[in-house]
Amino acid sequence: MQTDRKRRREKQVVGVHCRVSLLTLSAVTKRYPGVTALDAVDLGVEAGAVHAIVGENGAGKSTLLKLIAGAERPDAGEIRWDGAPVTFASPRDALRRGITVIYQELALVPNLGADANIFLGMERTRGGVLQADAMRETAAKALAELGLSIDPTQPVARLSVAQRQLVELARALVRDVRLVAFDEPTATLTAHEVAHLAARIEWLTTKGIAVIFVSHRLDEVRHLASRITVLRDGRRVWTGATIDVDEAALIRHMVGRDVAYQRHPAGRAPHAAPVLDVRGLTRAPAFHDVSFTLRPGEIVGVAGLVGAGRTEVARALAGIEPWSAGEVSLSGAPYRPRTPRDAIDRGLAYLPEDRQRDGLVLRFTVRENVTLPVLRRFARRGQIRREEETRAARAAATAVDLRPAPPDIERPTLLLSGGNQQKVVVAKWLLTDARIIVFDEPTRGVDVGAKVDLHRQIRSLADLGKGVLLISSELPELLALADRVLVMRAGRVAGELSGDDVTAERIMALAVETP
Amino acid sequence: MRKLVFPLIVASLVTAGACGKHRAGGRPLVGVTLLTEAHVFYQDLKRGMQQAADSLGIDLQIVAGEWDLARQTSQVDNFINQKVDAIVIAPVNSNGIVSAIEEANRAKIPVFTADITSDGGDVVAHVASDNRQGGRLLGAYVAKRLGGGGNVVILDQPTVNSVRDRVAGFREALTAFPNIRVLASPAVERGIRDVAKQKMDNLLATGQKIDAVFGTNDDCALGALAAIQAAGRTGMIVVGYDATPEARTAISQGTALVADAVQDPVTIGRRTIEAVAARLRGEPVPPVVPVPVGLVERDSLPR
Amino acid sequence: MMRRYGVVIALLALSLGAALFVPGFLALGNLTTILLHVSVNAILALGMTFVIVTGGIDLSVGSLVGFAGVLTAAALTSAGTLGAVGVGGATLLAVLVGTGTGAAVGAANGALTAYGRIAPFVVTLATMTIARGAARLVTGGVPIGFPAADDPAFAQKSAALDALHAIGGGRLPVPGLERGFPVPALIMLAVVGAGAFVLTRTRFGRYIYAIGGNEEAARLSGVPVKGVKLGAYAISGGCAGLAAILLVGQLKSGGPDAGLLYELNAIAAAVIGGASLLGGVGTAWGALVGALLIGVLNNGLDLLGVQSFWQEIAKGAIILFAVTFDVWTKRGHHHA
Repeated sequence: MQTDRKRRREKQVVGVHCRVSLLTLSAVTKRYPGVTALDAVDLGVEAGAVHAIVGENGAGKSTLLKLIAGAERPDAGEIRWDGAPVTFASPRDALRRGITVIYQELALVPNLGADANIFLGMERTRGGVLQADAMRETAAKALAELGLSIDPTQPVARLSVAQRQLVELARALVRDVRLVAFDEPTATLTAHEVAHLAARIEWLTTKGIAVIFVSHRLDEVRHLASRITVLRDGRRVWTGATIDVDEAALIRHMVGRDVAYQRHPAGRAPHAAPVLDVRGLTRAPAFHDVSFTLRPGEIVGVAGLVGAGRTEVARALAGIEPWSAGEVSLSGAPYRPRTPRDAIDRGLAYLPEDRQRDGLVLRFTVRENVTLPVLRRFARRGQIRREEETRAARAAATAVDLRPAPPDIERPTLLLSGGNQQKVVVAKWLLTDARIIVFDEPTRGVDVGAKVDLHRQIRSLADLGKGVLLISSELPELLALADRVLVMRAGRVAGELSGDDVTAERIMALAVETP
Repeated sequence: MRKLVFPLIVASLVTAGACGKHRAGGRPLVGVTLLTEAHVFYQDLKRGMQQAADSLGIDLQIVAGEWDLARQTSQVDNFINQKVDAIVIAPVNSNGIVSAIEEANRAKIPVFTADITSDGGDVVAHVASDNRQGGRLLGAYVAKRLGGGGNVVILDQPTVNSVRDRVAGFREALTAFPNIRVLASPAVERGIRDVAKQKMDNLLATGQKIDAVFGTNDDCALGALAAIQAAGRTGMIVVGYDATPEARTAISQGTALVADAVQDPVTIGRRTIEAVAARLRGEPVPPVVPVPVGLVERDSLPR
Repeated sequence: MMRRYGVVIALLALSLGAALFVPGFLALGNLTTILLHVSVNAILALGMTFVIVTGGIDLSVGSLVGFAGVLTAAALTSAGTLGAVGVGGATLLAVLVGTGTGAAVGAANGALTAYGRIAPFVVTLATMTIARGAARLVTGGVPIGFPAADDPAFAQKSAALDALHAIGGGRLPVPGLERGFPVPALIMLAVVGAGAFVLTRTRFGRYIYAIGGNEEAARLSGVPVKGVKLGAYAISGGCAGLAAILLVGQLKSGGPDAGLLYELNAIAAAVIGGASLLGGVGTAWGALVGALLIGVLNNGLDLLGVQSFWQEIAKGAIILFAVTFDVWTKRGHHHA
């Protein structure tokens, strides 16, 4: 550890003397309809150094990468490459200048071999005929330099994720790359593969190649990077040398913000008997050994990074996908739904993340959507009784405060605002007399006014004695609503917080900490 | 390795092909390819051929082109390879079958056509209903029923030779009655009933006065009948060709379908094989063997 | 291994079965006849393979065979042309018209799919219908071919049809082969060979596989996706045109209903030969093997005198089996 730090400091010193800023972003801003993804961000990346970018979900990291890759153009600010201002007309443009971005969803053609992929778009030909042998040799050499000894003609679909990453890296090398950006490269790698990749990245720096490393794994970040930039809500909040900061400080920078909502007064008296008791729920590779309880009248928040497995657990409990091990009991009775119908019948309602795709039939009216899961109730011998249906739908729509009041239940949901659409989804499940309601990112893309309404809904549902599971990436939301917070990480429960322990820092720490 | 596999197969099969099997000697083998095996008419034709072949000691190999000219051509090709003693064809397409017949001619295999003629090539004999006579019969009948004046519609199939003859005979009979006009003669693809009904629907929708409809086969006639019944029109008569069981039922029930020209496919089949046998014996055969056509109407049907 | 050579093994097994149980199958004359009968479908299947590998489909080839065939026959037997450039010139013109029509319609398909961004299924379905209708319109429903006996240009038209027949249905004299080796089979082998070369050894071919495997990755890598797609569909159309010429030559007749449902046979041959409808996989020689498999099946059943209905059922069963096998092996790979 000591030698590590010394070595790093040495690297820093050397860096100071011959610091060449290869890529500079100055006050770069990018806006999308309804949201400012990047707000006057500065970034400076030096040749031969590794610069890490960290931040929460939605902090602006992927937008930043898109700008660097040339896939998008900034609305304000300047990008300088090699000292001169540039505008990237397209990803090809950035590629030509020597910038390669390696994304999480790797951009390889699965049915072609590594050699074909490496030369894709820049094949060596003679009169249109491929010089296959020459390309194969060059590819093999590049792969060998990266420590990958595979048959370059085998389709890359057969390679592991780590190997495919190296193929993409080989592609960059053959192009004489000068800056490589990695987007969450280690999310799906084993420890051994991570070490290998880390070694390769160090080797890249010795060749004078600049590296940008976007990751949540703070320990890896601190091991590899000489400089770190922290983004939060689209702004750059801190940049500095790695040796000047520790993990706790990084987390503070990542989450520190004025909490927008009031913390709900603590002291909800939960009933004794849990309405949902989950033990050892497992389905590889999505989630392992997940256990928790939910009591009626409680709001349990579920926090974690994207990919932590929260939605997968919810979908399993909702009967959409099966689980391979573990037991669940609902109101004391064993529960194992084979279809969503089973879940609905037992009183478990799931409000999905993508409400437009999974939660609503957009072409349907409010009434038709709201009554869909309980249509049986209004159907006598198969025929729907309109009056009854309309009455029930109107009641439900009023209960969720569908605006403008009085609610027009014949309006197609396609025409409603995001907030109202979410209310329709809630109304739908209210009608099912659900005892457990699982919300998955309920206020994503919802305007402030509707958000407040929805929060009120959620609280009143709990007051009515329902058990509420609230999956959310918005820490303030969790802080305001949840009695307890479950934090998931890489498919497992990293920890459970209650009472005064429920703070943003603690949640974040559990979400990113590596064992 | 991959590149060698394909030529290897071809080579091995070709060398093995030297020892091909040959037919058991003795009885003459005649290759027959029909327009289709799915129609009652051709099933009867087949029956007639089989009867004659059995009694004359000839083997038949019967296939059908099922409305596909290329398929029928390849079937003729196969017959040539099998070195059959004669080939009988009920052509899918009178014009397109010529090249296949020429191939057979080159291989010195005698060719006969049944029911439908071919536009070229050397054909020993053509055996078919006297379609012209049948058309004339129907034309005279319609003229009588119309009292010498009125509008007539013909549901035609111009690609089929036999139909051309029927229509020609029909029009020939009508020339004696200047007050009878042929309003329209739309083509019904492949003589399919649905298409015929559609064409008739369209004609009825034009509101013109139509007194009689000539369906050049029974599917056309029955299709027209369906259209007339659907539109609730009266005062029209329909005549058809082939006298299939369904048509006969319609006639005896007193619908607008009043008469049918009746072919004798069994006899056509029989006479065809008889002609083949004669040729194989070395006897002369007339180039055209007509089989007379009759008329069926309500009175002539059993109640 | 089974995956790659499965089809070839199936073909050999089927041929062996036919050789044992079908009298006359193994005769040289019959085998070469199979090659003749297969040539049209094999060429269509080759063009189809280009399109299928990019992840698309071309439903219009059957109708194109009819449409291009009609125009070919018309050009060949046009009295005016024959008068102007003679039999040889008319034949050449007919060949150009046929291939050109096919390629042009194919390019239109490609443009609408690639640039108009309309699903290939929809585009080629529309073209299929339009081409068939156009063919029927141009001919009035009657095939163009053998001249009527009283036609003043009878001799020339006959000669022109004979000339095209030499290409489309002619046979080269070969010692030992009674009827000679069919010319269209040679053309088929040449076309498939050329297709194989382009697919495996040229940049264009590499791009075809890339687009089928991961179009987005290809695009981001600078592959001219739209242009390549257009090319693939133009090739498919051109093959249809070539197939039309062979068919018109064989039958000495260009009928508006020619090629009816041929697209299904072409797709079947391509898929049986290993092309995946999901894109990215498929070979030129595979298309030929697929066509041969269907051809051997048809031929064997024909020689046995089996009703054509059974042949349809058998063909359908084989396609189902081939596609299931393909999807099943694909799924196995995905988990890797």
